Amino acid sequence: MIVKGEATYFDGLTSKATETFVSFDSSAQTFSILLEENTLSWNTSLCTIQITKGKLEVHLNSDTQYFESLDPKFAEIVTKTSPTIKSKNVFHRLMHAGFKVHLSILGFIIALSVVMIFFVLPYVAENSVVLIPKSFDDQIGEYAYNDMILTETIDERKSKLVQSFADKMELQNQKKMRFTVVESPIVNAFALPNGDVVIYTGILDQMKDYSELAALIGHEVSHVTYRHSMKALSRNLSTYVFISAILGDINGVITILWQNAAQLQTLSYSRKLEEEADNMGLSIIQKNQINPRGFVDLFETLNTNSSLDLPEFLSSHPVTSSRIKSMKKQAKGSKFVINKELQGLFLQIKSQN
Amino acid sequence: MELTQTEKRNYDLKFIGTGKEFFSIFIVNWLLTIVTLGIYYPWAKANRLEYIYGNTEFEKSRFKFHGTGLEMFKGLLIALAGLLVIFGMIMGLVYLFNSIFFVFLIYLVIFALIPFAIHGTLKYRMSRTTWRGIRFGYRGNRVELIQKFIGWAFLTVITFGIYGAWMTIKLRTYAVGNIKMGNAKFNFKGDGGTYLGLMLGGYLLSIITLGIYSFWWRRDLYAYHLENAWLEHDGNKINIKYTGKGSDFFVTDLLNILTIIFTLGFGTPWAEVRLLNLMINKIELYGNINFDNLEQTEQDYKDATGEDIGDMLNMDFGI
Ligand SMILES: [Zn+2]
Repeated sequence: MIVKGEATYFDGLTSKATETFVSFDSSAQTFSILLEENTLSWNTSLCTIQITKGKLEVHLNSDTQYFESLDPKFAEIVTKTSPTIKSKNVFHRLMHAGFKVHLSILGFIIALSVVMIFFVLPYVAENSVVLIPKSFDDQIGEYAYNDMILTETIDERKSKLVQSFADKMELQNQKKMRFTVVESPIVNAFALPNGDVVIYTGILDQMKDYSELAALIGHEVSHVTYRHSMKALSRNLSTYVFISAILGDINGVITILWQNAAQLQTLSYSRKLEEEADNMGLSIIQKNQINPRGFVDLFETLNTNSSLDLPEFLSSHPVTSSRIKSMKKQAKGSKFVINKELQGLFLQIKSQN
Repeated sequence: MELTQTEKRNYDLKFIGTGKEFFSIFIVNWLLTIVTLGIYYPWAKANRLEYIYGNTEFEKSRFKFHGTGLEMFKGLLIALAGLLVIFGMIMGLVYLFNSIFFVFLIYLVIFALIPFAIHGTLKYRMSRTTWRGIRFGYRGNRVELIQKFIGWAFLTVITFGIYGAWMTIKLRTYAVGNIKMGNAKFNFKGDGGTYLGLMLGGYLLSIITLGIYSFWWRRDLYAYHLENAWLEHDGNKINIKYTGKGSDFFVTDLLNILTIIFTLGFGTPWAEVRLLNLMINKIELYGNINFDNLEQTEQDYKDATGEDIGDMLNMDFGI
């Protein structure tokens, strides 16, 4: 089939527009551009053909010559019969799929990302912690410890007392535990992956019985034993890297929005870790025949004050009432004896000098 | 062709792209970038530029971006290899002399790369852009620009940044003054003092008005850059006027922020198109150049290394 249409030709030498006619032979796939002095013949294989907003443009490859046509019939025949348009590259083929397909692609990528962020990555990240050498826990913990301790005042006397208090307990620990008491009104304590536990005087001041301190120690030791810091770090890091990689250069704003959304996942995760630490902490307390009521008291103090947690840079959340309730239930009927030694140490810790 | 048109008139310039189409580009680019683990990035960039240029119409003819992803990918490899060698050498020095003093050289290298990237980007972008088949071109000299740039930067440092206003103007004068559109030539003439006033005044007013004036400030800066530029050809000229208002910038930004937030970021293409409309469609061109008479004078130039270095330095030229 041969179609003929009005066109404007540019010779690539000047910007002069030449109004002319172009005929297109669909079987030979050739354009014939009628000029005053001669007729140009371009095979579609030598051209880049595009149609945007009703304007057909045919550019001669590696050249600046081209013609354009606003003739809808001409454009329609060319686009329908010319294989070069369809066989272009993946990008053009996908572009031709249309807006609905593009919306579906977006939906698909979002769905896949959500599955990755909330299910696949956390699982992989948590389980791949096994592959991280334990010496890394020590390095990262020591680094964090040295970094934070620079700006703090250590209470050497109380640190020593808490250390001997903990040493008297059976902690089921795999790492050597080192306790540091820091002077601060903050009602909090945290454990680092290398076995360093930092306890603020604020929380010690709130305690009324040695069983509370024992509960705190049991809880923090469990964080270290289960490598909770590393698990949280691994999850946060992998989520962060994944989101950055997926959204990367696309848009800074989207990336920030998604990073924040992923924080929700982190929050629920740290809740799970806290529960795990509570449970193992309780079993330590029970093994040491200490009153598990200490846990309940500790939580109630924290509930009215602040939080007992992993280091702040990893996560932070309050003690929930459900945590207290479940602890009350588990503590019921536990056997315990009064440990004079621990009680004595606790009194020394509570005394001002 | 001796036709010279002398009667002055207005010229047509408009952006005809739509958010919906731009969204499609964005999604397909995104998909291909993810699937190729990021390697598609230069092609994605070429697709985006091709769309923006191809949807900008001047005197009823559209611009065309001829650059390809492959060119930019090659440029990226060269740029990466070059940077790797340079940083390797610096790290070697650090190791050899056991002194981190040499890390300071990295900053110097990054700094020296700025004029390099400006030159490369202009040269590549201009030569790969055509209008009615006529190539744009950048005739600046790389060594000259680097020398000038270092001099200006030195003056800026010793004047505690005050000379920065003059530096911006001189850089603009040099860059724009070397841009050709076939045998038509762009020019820029600005004044460092005026520009400094614009910067300081805008800054102070923005602080006093708690940021509200910043929209008017941005408009003033954009208008200053445009209105001090002109195109000349055969003794004829076109002058530029920007009719956008500060309130237009305010409304556009507000709508864009809302668009982005309420679409969780995926409405960004619509926001970008809205901004392009503001930047392009409010430009008024007035003069007497005859656009049938441009001649092809500029060479093809396919080395995109500078463009890629510019990308790495996160520079955006907005052209
Ligand atoms: Zn905890």
